[in-house]
Amino acid sequence: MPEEMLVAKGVEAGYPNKQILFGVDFSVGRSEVVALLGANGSGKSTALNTISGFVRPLAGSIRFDGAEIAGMPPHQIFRRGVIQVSQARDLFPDMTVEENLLLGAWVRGGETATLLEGLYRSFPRLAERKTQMVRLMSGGEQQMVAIGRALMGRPKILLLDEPSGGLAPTFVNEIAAIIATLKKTGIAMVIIEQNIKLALSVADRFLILRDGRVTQRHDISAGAADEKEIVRSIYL
Amino acid sequence: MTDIAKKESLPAGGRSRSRIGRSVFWLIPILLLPVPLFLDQYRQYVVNLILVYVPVGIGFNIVVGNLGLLAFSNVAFFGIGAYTSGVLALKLGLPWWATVLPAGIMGALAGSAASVPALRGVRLFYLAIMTLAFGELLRWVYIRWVPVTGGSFGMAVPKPSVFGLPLLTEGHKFYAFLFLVVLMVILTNRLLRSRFGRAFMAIKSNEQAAAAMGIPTDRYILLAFAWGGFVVGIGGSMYAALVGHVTPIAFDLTELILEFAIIMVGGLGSLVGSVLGAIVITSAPEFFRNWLGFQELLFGVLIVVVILFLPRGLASLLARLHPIFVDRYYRD
Repeated sequence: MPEEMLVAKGVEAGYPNKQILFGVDFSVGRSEVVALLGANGSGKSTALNTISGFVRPLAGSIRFDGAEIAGMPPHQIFRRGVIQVSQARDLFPDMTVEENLLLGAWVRGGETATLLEGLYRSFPRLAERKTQMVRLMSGGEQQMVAIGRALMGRPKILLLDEPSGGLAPTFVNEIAAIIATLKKTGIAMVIIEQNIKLALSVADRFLILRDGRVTQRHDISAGAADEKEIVRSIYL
Repeated sequence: MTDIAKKESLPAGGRSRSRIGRSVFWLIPILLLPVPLFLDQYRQYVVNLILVYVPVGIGFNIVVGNLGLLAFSNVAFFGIGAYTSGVLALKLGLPWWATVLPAGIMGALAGSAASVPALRGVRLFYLAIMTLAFGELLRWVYIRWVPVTGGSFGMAVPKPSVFGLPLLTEGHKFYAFLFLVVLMVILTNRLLRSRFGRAFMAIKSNEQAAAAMGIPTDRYILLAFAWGGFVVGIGGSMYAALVGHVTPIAFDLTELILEFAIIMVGGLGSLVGSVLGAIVITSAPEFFRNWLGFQELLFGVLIVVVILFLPRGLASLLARLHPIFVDRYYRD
């Protein structure tokens, strides 16, 4: 396994009067892509939100690049390079595409103009629409803006919560291609996906969560994963 | 610099053209300098009252318009500013000019205190009612803390002076007020055009997303309340100097509605709008004096008509005239 970048140990988290995660352990290595699979309500999104600081853990430790980040506010975790693309995409609907992208680079800095030019080369569709208000775009285009904005923050690790959720099939393919390209660039990722084919096509490893606990761990590189078998272990 | 970098530093229009355009704003206070020569004491008083309400509108607009929070404690900051000036002048014998900054600071402290519910995540109508309660609570303090505030009867504020020069006429007050208003407009303009303004816009547009982009939303919310409180507190100090008498009744709900009308009519989130709103809302009742008995009706109709036909306020009219009037970091 590559050097560990993110290590979660015994993470318990949830909302008032409702605990969701019960002692979740997992780690992500540098340039590694880990998929979190599980049925609805199994705690996948809560796990990502706990890493990114939107949900405060009740117990356990989350270390990123050797430093404890559990319980830190989201903006401090972001500054360390842990960047989430949430399920709701969380864009600024009344701003243009470019303004959204620029806000992504705002805190972490860097050569904004160069970053933006690079991003427009990879996402020509965003370059075409850079002056368009985000709320006037389709779901797939908005997802591209959300991923693009996260990349503007120069992530060390990208947390993707259902990037293909609710998108038309053509967009699902396009998003899958984007994620595959990102993998080649060496960004570590944790990805939650209902589309198991997409998840398996990019992941190095996957975990199955059930009722807030990790029930299975698989190393995809060790052997081909059986999609039907995975679906069975998720839902049955 | 690449095209993109240029675009980032200035979204609309060329930099030089914009700078020339902005310098036109400097002409406005200069053109206003001879105003006291042409006005009688009463009309000058009305103009001074407009100047008092410019910072009051500006501070309110930062929280409600730019940050997008339904926080209605503005009248509390106004009252705190007025009482701070009044108490310091009356009890400690400080000249008025020396009470202006403390009034702003007390306004900022009150603003910080009023931001606590918002920092705890209270939003929308819940925030509205809690911040309204804050204003009413302070009114209770003004009434009950008799030894300091003079209770229901209020307090007479000594004649204002600036560096030993007494402000004997309304015209004298006008120059002192104009200086403060120009200063507040410049400082707030700088704030709103900086990364702070961009952060306010991001928080208004989607607070969760702003936090997800690494923006410390709590810090910016606190800053908006504190700066808003500071500017309104200065307005309160000007009010004490202008009226010469500070009473709790001046800071009641009717006053709050008037202040809200200023930013709605002027234009939410617009600095120019706060100025326009203060001009129209403060001077309109004076025009309507000619129609005795219909003053309130005409005033109400004016507000309804403006909001009906110009939902973005009077500032949107100016924005159509020239891009210089478009606020850099504001969206509907």
